[in-house]
Amino acid sequence: MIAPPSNASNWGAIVQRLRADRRSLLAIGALCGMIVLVIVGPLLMAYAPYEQLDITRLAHARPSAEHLLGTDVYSRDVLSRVLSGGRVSLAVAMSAVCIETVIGVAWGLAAGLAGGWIDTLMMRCADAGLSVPRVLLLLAILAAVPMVPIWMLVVLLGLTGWFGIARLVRSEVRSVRSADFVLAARSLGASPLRLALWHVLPHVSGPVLVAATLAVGHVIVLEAGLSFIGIGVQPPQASWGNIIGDGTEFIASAPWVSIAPGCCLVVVVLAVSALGDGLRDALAPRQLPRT
Amino acid sequence: MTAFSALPHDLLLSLRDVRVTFRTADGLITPVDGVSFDIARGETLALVGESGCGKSLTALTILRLIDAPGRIEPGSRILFEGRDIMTLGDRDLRAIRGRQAAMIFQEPMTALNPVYCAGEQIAEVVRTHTGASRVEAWSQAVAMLGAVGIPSPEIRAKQYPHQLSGGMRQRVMIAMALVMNPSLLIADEPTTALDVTIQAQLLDLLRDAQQARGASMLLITHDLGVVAESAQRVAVMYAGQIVEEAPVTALFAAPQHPYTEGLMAAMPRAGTRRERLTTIPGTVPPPGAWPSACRFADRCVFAWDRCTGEAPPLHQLGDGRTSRCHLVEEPERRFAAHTAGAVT
Amino acid sequence: MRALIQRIWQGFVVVAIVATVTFVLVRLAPGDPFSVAFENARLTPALRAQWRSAYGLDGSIASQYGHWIIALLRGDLGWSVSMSQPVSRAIAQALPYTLLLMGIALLLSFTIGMLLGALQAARHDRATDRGIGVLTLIGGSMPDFWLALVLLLTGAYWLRLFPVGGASDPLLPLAASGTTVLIDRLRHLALPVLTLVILITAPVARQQRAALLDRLHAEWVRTAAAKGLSSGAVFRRHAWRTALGPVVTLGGLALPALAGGAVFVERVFAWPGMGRLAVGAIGARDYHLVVGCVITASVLVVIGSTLADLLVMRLEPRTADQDTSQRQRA
Repeated sequence: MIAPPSNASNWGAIVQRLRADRRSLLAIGALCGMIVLVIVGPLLMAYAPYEQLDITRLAHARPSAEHLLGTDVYSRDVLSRVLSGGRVSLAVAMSAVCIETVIGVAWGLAAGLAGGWIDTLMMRCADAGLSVPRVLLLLAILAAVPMVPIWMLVVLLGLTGWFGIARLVRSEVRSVRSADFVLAARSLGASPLRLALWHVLPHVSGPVLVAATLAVGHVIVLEAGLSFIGIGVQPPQASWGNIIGDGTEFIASAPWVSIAPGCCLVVVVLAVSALGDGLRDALAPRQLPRT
Repeated sequence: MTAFSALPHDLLLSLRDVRVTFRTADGLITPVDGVSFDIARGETLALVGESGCGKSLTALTILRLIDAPGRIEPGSRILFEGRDIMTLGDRDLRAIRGRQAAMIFQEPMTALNPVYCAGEQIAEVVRTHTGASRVEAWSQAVAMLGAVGIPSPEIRAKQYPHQLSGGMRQRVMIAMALVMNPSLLIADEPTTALDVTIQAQLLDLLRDAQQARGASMLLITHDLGVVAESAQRVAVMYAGQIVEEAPVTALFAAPQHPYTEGLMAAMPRAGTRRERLTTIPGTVPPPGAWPSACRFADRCVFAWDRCTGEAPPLHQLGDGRTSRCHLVEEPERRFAAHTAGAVT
Repeated sequence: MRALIQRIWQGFVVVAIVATVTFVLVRLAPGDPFSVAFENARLTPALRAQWRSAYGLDGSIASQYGHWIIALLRGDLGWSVSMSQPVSRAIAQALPYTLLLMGIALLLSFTIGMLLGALQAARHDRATDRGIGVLTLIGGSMPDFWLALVLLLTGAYWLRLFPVGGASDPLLPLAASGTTVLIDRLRHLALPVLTLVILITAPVARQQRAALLDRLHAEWVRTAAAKGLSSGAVFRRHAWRTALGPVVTLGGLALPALAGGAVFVERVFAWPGMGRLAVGAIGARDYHLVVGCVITASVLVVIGSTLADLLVMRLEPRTADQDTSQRQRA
């Protein structure tokens, strides 16, 4: 039996379960902390992220009291770069996930509600998209665009990431379509659009939220990788990925340049994964055995 | 109730004061609370009750199949073929399971492993308990499938549960239970998930198989019709306790406990003209919320103040009958009741 | 059998879509190998026009597409400008290295991951479970290229146990015995494999643990115990055996991501596989090579996921009668 879509009290129960889960709270705290840090941090920094302080003497300075994370090969303060790079990395990831979620939900809803050959065709496209290694597809596209502006990067990331969400939404829609409460609404004369928005969408929102949360982790690492090899965020704009890339050549002599942004990535991904798990558990609590 | 240390030799199974507890988020609950009954050799005892009364859990205790967070309390005694199952070590217990006592579960689609074919699952029992080779075990499995009435057993044995109909799956379960010739069959609502016509066939099958082997059966059900068909004695359970026990004909002729009366009145019967189905008012209380005195009092049409103050013991009525009700001591109260919705 | 044919057909459709999309991308790229953007003083405009026509680059989009598809079916992926050889040859040289790396990494990861996941489920909620859980959480959260860098730093620079990159020491075979060459190759393999193993084992272990925990309380597990099987047999034959399907399905679904992961790892360790080839091609704006790599990778992924699907059909007979979209949802 599939229950009718969530109402206010249902969400209340979910939030309560989430609040009771220490792991989720920790994850939310870490994420919020990171977001605050990257928004506020650069404003408090003594050095600008682009500023080459003293390239003859301060290049590759070890971490010290004045430069908590040392400097890079151009004598730029690494901590400033990491913080301002964090803005870019987080913003890009979250925006791209928004785009891919919107596209995925729309595609999945349309396919699931349409049914028949339209559904099959739309799902074949999604399957094809899933089969292509996302990195390689982005490599192919970005190879053609010399200095990709950040907005285009976000759009491309979003356009290549909706396939999984579309499949998820479609399968949920299919399972709900034949549920009693949907049939009841249809027999009362609800239009397809109303069905989609009011009855089906709330039911789907839980799994989609989980998927979107986890997607932030994937995308932020993906963008970092692309920036690492030079086709993502372009210098002098910093992103965690291209800072790591800058430090690669000198990994042995100045490891702090590459290690620091990587740790930030790990923290974000950990937090996002833990939050995703916590959301999943909060949405579907375990059940007791039959007596 | 007398505790006894030796089992008369014609008693196959004897439960004494079996108690099962579960640790939940809301505390400790006791869904099986002091259950005792006996089953003689060759006899079928039906254990009847609504969902949530603890009858399935009781069945699981016999082979100690209760897992955490559940626990069979140490005071429980389960005597089978003269040995107390509670004291058996792992190896001895496993030797009994599937061989001397076997279980048949309610929903064969989930009770059968979906990745092994039917024959393999039966052969597994044989191989576990005997040194038979794969080939011998397989042929025994196929033979057993034929014995439970499955046509073309050699073909069916290679099929997977999802390829079989519900009735056939349950026959596979029965075959699995019978293959080692157990002396006790524990059937937990074996036909509840099936059509009525198949139900009749399978009950006949079980009865024939049981009689042919001289085996005993504990039949768990909520359906009094099944009880009438298949059992010699009945125990009625409510809220974790046995509230009445009697031979089948005696129970149907003259139920003693108000709950049993209610169950029987609620049975739709062909041939009677009645506008409305009678129901027992109220619902079964969940294990955490059992009243301290008589657990049926708040739904009972005969209840008076003694019922909410003092828990009735299980009275022995002679001729193998018992009843957990104060009416045994004060039968005149039975005629004093004039509550709306009284049982007619 | 029917499902197999359906699966292969779907694979074809996928590769066709990929081929078309990449074709469109290539044509959208600014310029072509013979446009003025490519500097070469010797190429006069007339010569450019001639070569352009010889390569069929002056026809309509439709005819170019047609030529390209035909070439593709013949296995001709075009010419690599940066490597001065046919794309197919460049890929054929790099492919075995990638297959070797991925093959070993996958084998090790799945074996270790499934054992870890099973161990966690067997010791659910105890110290072992939690400890391994933390490790898999961290291991699965690390960016592939960063982990590669860290391992390179520690293994090659600090500990000096492993070489800095490449697949082998090119001079070694001249002077040394077979065993030394083998050891040398293994030392070169070690760090890239270790990186991939850490990255892949984590999600495999998590999936195995989750699938097993789900099935530990299945009704058929209770039936198995009621039949008198030992707890070990119940665990192995009835719980674990039914929990293998989801792990293999995960593997199939994750193949595209794995292909991507290989790219970065190969780059960091200078492993001469397809990933490194693709990255180099990007730097050189060698579109044909990039596209060739993308198509080859897609074909491999399709083959891999078809094999995974077949394996799942063997492991879980009831899925054999479903279609693939149903199966992958499970």
